[in-house]
Amino acid sequence: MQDKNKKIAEQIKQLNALKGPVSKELLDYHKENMSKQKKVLDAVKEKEKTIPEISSETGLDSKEVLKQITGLVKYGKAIHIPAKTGYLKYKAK
Amino acid sequence: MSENKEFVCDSLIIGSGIAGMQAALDIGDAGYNVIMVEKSPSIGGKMISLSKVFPTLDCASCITTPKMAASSHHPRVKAFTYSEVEKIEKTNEGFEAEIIKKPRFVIESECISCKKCEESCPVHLEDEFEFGLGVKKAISIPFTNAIPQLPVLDESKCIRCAACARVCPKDCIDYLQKPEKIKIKAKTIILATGYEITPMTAKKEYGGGRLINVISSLQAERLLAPHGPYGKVLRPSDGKIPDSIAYVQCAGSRDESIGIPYCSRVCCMYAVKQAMLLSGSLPLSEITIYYMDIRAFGKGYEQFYNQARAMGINFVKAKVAKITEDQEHNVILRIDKQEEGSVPMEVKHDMVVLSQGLLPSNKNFFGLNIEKNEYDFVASSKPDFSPALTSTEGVFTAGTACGPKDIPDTIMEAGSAAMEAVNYLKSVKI
Repeated sequence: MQDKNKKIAEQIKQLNALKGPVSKELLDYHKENMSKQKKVLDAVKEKEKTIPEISSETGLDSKEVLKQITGLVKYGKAIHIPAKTGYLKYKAK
Repeated sequence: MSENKEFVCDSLIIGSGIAGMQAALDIGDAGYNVIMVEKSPSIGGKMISLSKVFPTLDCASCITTPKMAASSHHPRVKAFTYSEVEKIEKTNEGFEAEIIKKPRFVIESECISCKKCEESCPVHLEDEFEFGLGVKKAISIPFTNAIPQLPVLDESKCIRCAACARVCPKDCIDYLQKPEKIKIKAKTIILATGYEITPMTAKKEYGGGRLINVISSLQAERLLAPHGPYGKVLRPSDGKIPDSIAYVQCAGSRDESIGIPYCSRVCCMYAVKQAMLLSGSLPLSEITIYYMDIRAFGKGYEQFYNQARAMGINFVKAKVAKITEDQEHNVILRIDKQEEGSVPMEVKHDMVVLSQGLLPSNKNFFGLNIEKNEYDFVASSKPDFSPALTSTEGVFTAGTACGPKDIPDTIMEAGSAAMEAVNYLKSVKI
């Protein structure tokens, strides 16, 4: 395990030397994205909610909420509750 | 760039969509060795992303996946995925192609497709397989039934947290992987490079790429697919199940002003198909198709169209002048019905699909001296009797590389290209 971590660290070091460090813009974008993801997941932890409900609770744009919840559903952190009209409801798993 | 590797084959096929795969299987079955080169990380082309096919409404994936499996397991077919053809030169022995195999940053021979790297990656990105509607990770297998089942790391979005490398049970993440140069010597070439759809921004007045609920026909395919991005048809602005959906026909064809005066042949039928699927999946929704005229040209297509009418799809003969949106992102169409005495009017829909046309995917043919038609598709030298022949001996074409066509015609033409290539290989001693 130690060897593995050493090998990975060495590769990352070489990559940084070759291509320069990861840009601040990318890191900031990622941080912001993670915080949005957490907000959305927290909003559906207790009770199932629709996208407009999550949007008004988190202050995030509906489009952004849809994007985040799509990722959370795809990667198994939330589920959607089927509906025939209106809006689906989402809940944390 | 790593060192050159050299391969020799009888037939080199550029593109591994349904045309490329069919041609590869036919040539392989005839006893010749084939190499397919595909620019995407998986074989399957556009067809693997479609929901169903017209007019039978068979599942597109159920037709494509067996072909993908057959061509990847065929003893005489080899595929280079995530690889771009740089150039092809005609030589005394046939053709010589230079290929660049892009790095996946994964050691392909070691990877066991366990997806642990994808699960551990914290970076969420727009998924190009879902045409921007879904989400993927910075390292991911392109889609569920991709072949090969190998992940690709998006180097430009990776934050180098090394989570993927730490969880990989086979230690096959290689951040320092370089592009590989490959040389392929072949006796024949088949151009099966396929199509691109007209850009969403081609008709500025339709608001494509600007109005969030105006989507492309391929995005609509993904919404309708069983493993689509949202698991249900939802509109992108707020996830609402749309009550009213409109199709705007000829949104990227038959228009001199955008430089695409030809008819793309398939748009009428894919719109009818999608409308029927939508009415099945959203039985309470109203679906309208605004059209100039419906071109139901193939076997069973007229019945298919009549069936759609009988199912309650609204067909409105009208020209759409402009598309805008209101504050809730509902889409407003300014239409002019093609009826006597009608006046321009505005209609509101929850979501609009633009029926875009087909453009050639490749226009320079990798330096080969190939004649093009006036719209940059490969020109067939004998269009009536041997559509697969091109202006260069030994080079054949199949599918939408030589013009817009539907899937049955594409498969038939791929068979024809394979037959021409086999005859050429038999007749020419190189």
